[in-house]
Amino acid sequence: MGRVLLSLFLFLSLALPVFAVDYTSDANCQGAWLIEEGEGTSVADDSQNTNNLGFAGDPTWATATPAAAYSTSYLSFDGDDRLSASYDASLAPTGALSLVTWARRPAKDVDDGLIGFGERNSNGYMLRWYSNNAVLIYLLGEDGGAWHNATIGADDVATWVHFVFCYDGAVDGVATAYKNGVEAKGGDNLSGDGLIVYDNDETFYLAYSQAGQGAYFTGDMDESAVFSDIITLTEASDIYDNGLYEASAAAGQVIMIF
Amino acid sequence: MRIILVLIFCLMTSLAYAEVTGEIIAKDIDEKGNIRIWTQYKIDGVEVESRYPKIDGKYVYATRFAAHNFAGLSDAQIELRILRETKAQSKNLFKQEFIRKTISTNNEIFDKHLKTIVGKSISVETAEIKVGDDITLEIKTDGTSSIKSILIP
Repeated sequence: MGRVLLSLFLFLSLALPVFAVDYTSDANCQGAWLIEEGEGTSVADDSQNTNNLGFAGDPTWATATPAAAYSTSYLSFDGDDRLSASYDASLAPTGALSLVTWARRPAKDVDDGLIGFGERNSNGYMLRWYSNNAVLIYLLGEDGGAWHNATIGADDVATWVHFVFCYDGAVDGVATAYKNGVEAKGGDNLSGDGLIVYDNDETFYLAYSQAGQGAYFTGDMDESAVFSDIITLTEASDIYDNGLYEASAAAGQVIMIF
Repeated sequence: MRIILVLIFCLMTSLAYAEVTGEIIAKDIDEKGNIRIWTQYKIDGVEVESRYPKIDGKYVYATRFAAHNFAGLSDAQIELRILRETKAQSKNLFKQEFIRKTISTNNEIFDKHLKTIVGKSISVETAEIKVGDDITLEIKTDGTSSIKSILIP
């Protein structure tokens, strides 16, 4: 009887999973840039895809970050710098898509690209912070090239703001936008229909919009990511509060309780 | 022998029992004035670990709301709106758990699920080329084409 109870106890103990919260190891995380290097001319991708970003221009490293960010560094862009990676299919999800970033701008009188992939009026997606205080996600679809866009207001200046924009991947899709962990007003006015299309000779950017668009970001950026799934409101709050990466947990590990 | 039977029984029952629950534990106002709901999630009865400080010894997750999220809603509808988010996160955890237990790495997909991909083929009958800022052509290999207009944002 004792052996039976012992076996039962061991089995139940081994079967109890406690999940380490690490969004960079999520199966749907296609790119995660913690911007933690603090020096050098590249930023590592901490997702499974290693879409590392190289510098173009002269972004500068600085210390201190949004409270939730894992790293102690961030990058400053002066309007003619950007980070880029060559085309990789992992950054081109045709279904659901979520873009995540921290950004801070010194003024609101410029049109800035935060995350971009593809070519203007042709393919891909981009997240832009406009001079009129609007933040928009653009998705270029297969229905003749119509832009799908969703807009939220963000008049923040000289303060870090956390943005999460999600597209559910449906043909008549819905976009949801979270600002600082709260569902933002106006995030669901997605226009057009059709799935996102890509061209495999295009480039992925941080601090820039798209090839042919020319909207460089002026300001600071920190932890950013691309997911091939929607981010829930609870996840948006978690990333806003605690960052993309959990330093104390091994990536992707399922911890067993003994 | 009895040990094996017990293990088989436990394995069968554990596989049959699959549930994600979300229980609202607390509420407060965050530093920016947003409404914050604290929820404990469990998968098959086991707490999901979080990075927030525990509340009453429980792992919790925050979900934030602002007044505009509840515009025009009654008390009951506001509760339903919050519970809808709890349900969405529960479904998300369910999905993540499924993914974890099925496919988790590129190598696993490569090793287990691409055994018959070599030799498969597809055919394409048309393609598109861009000839201007607002025009694309749908083309065929026989030299014919048709114009598809695109919109400029």
